[in-house]
Amino acid sequence: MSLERALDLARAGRAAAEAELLEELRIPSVSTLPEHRADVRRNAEWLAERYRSLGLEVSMIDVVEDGHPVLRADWCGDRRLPWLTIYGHYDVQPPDPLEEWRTSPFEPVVRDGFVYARGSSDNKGNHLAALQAARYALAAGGPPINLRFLLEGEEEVTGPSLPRYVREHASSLGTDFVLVWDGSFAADGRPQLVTGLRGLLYVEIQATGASLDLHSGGFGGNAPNPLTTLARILGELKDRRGRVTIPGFYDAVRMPDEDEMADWDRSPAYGETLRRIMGARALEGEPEYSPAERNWARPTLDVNGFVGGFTGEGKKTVIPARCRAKVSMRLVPDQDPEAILDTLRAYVQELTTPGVEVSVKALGAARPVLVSADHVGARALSAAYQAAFGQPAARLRTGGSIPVVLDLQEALGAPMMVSGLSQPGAGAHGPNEHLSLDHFHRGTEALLRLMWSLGGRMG
Amino acid sequence: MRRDGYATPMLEQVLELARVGRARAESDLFELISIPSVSALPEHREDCRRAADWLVAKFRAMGMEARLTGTGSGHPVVEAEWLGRPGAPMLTIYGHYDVQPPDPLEEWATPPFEPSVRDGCVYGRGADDNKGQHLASVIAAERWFERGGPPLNLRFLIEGEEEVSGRTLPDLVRAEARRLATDYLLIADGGFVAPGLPALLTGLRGLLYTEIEVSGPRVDLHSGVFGGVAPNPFHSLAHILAGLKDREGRVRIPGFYDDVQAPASEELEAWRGLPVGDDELRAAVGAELVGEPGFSPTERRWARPTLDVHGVVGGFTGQGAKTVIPARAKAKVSMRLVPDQDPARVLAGLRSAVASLVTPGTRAEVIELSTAPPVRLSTDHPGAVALRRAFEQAFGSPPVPVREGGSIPVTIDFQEALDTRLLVTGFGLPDDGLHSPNERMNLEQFHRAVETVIRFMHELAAL
Repeated sequence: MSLERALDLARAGRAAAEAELLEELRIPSVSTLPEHRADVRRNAEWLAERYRSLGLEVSMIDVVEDGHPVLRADWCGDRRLPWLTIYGHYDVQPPDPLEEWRTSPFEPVVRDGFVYARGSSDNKGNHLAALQAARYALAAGGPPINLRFLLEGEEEVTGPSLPRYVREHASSLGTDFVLVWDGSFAADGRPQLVTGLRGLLYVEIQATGASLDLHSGGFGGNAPNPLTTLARILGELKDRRGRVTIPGFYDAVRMPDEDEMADWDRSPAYGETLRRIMGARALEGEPEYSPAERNWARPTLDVNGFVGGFTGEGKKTVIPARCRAKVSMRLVPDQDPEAILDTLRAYVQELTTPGVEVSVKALGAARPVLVSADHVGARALSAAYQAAFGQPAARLRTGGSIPVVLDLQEALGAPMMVSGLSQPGAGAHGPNEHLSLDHFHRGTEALLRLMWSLGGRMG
Repeated sequence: MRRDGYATPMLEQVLELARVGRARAESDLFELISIPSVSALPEHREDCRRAADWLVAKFRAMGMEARLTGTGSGHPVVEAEWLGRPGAPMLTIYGHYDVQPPDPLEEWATPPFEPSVRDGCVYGRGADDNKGQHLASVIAAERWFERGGPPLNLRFLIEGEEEVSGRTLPDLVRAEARRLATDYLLIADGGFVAPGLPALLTGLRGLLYTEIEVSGPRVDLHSGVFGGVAPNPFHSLAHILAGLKDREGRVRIPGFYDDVQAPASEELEAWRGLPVGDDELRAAVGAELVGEPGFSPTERRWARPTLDVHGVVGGFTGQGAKTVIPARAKAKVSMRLVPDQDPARVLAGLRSAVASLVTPGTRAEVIELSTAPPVRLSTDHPGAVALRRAFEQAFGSPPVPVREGGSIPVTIDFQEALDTRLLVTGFGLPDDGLHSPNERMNLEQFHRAVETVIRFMHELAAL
């Protein structure tokens, strides 16, 4: 039970850990695409096999039909020791646009200390570092804490499996700490503890005009054009300044207090940093809020995809019969996704033009959540970061959503740490996603330190 | 009552040949439709060439001199000529062997390039636009050649770039105007106003086709991590597209309507008397008619300019959800133009409108994909008289003066370079599904079109 021994083993095992990471990155576990269904399961089995070989008690649970399995792996060294539950997800975002990847998304390549592949930072690099930490802790005689891993395959699709499992099996999942290990650093070298996550409402808006595609010469001027109408609707959902126009959208928004924002860089310099990371000419968004506030504490609306009509090379003079767009909203406390969905549905009906029927289909929803960082676990993680990376964690929110956080919070009721080891600008969800191998290794060390720190404190 | 005792029996003989040759004519039509000559798609390049070769072989077999011209980077023009009637007028017949892409494929009841006959119609991409239409003239000529040749001099110009507004034929016409001189030029690339009611065009709308590309961040971004600060090109594109036209259908490009000329009062009167009303148009559209307030659907279709979005693409468009803010998005947008709008001026107006609508942090570029100016056509000449008679005899009704909402870009080149009498008409029916899935040609209509052209040649020679 020596931390030093475990850290030595981690340092000696770096090459093997990298090889294992590359192996997992080769599995295209894209949960949203039906054609990758078997790959998603393969990834779960690949992880199950590894946890089993470490001596953990592993179960793969199919919670819902047509879902992706929940993977649970428990190691109980001593019933008297506290429990640390570590969350991760083995599914990844689709890799498109493929043509913008310098190397193939599922053939990981290491360049200049970074591994490039879909899922490298979100979330395989993170959960695989946790797997390594478990391996070295066990090889060093076992950590002074009991470990439980909960991995899902539906994070990227806001699926129901893990939320349902957690709520239905809360009694068997009793834990002293929950580590949601899915995130990145706040800035170069600066780890973060997340104090709030935005929620998500993801919808598809469909617009239908004529009963069939029409020639724009013969019918232009009379035929309702769903593309023009849908573009109009999308244009009207958000004004030129970036303010969402859905009635009542901002009513329930509760801004963080000054104490929560103590570590936030609300200066324009942070906006400039974001601008550089994005490679954008300027920022978009509500001008009366700082970029940090817009990023973490304000709700947003974005069009994520839009397709319809003729999109090939050259030209075709068609008035398409239908088209659709994917639109998502990031929500903040205390916005309610269901209430907003209802309002959006009614508002879209108001915005459509004669002859064009529109419908809104909900593809996923997650409520926004706040996470306290004022507890023993959060302080222990910050200290572990300090030792492994040389800096304590900043208390920040994140703009993204991890839907299951709310379920873990409500069902397990344990102090929670939401954090992650990826470097900033890792390109999660975009092409050329990459992970710093240095972060991967130091993150493993930070996790070992966390285990010993939490175990030592309470054991 | 015939003026020429010899020609009338000859005409009857040719018409009889056409009647007994219907099966042959249909099998020719099916053969041509089965060649997927999609000019917009590079993978169909060879197929376009095959369609051209098929026509050349057809013309040669009937005794016309035929060749391909302009075989550079574009698609060749099929040129066929017969000068066997010195002193008789010269008639040139235009057509195009290229077709629109067939997508969306899943909406075709039968494959687009496997012609299939149902309820008296042949279904296939190009059945109406334009294979059925120009082949009717080719078959008409063939029947005349089976009785010694047509009563006038004849030329065919059949291009392969109509659907992509290519320059091969326009350049040829302008470069070799003297060689291509002609007394009359027949363009059958339109349609009937209604079943039984042919049309003779007095004008065509022009077309300005553009692509608007908007770029935002350098790479696709996670909408959670960057939502609220990332300039979303879709946001910008939506504002642009919404801003180009108001909710009622008026185009908002500065100066867009400045040069629009109202139709002549005779035209408006003829249009009011048309047996097709809003109901027929509504049935063809399958939805409520919408458009510029203050104008009838007919005016909006023929005499008013429009703006339509034809395609939008960008971001994640697969099944399910992906929370991405895309780096770029693009839309295809075209404007139908009417006399005397100037495409260059409209394009400049569009560019300035887009520049003022783009949202902060994004950049928009307007790329001109093609341009065809609007055209006015005179129907006050002997060729129009001959065509009226031919239609009357073949279909029982003379053509009505209408305009065409679509564009036939080469019309302006013919008009300017050849200074000839243009006859722009068509043999298709309004519900043939041009550019749409399940495009079709009514076969009875096709055979009567053959008869019309046979009679037209006769009438024109007899004038």
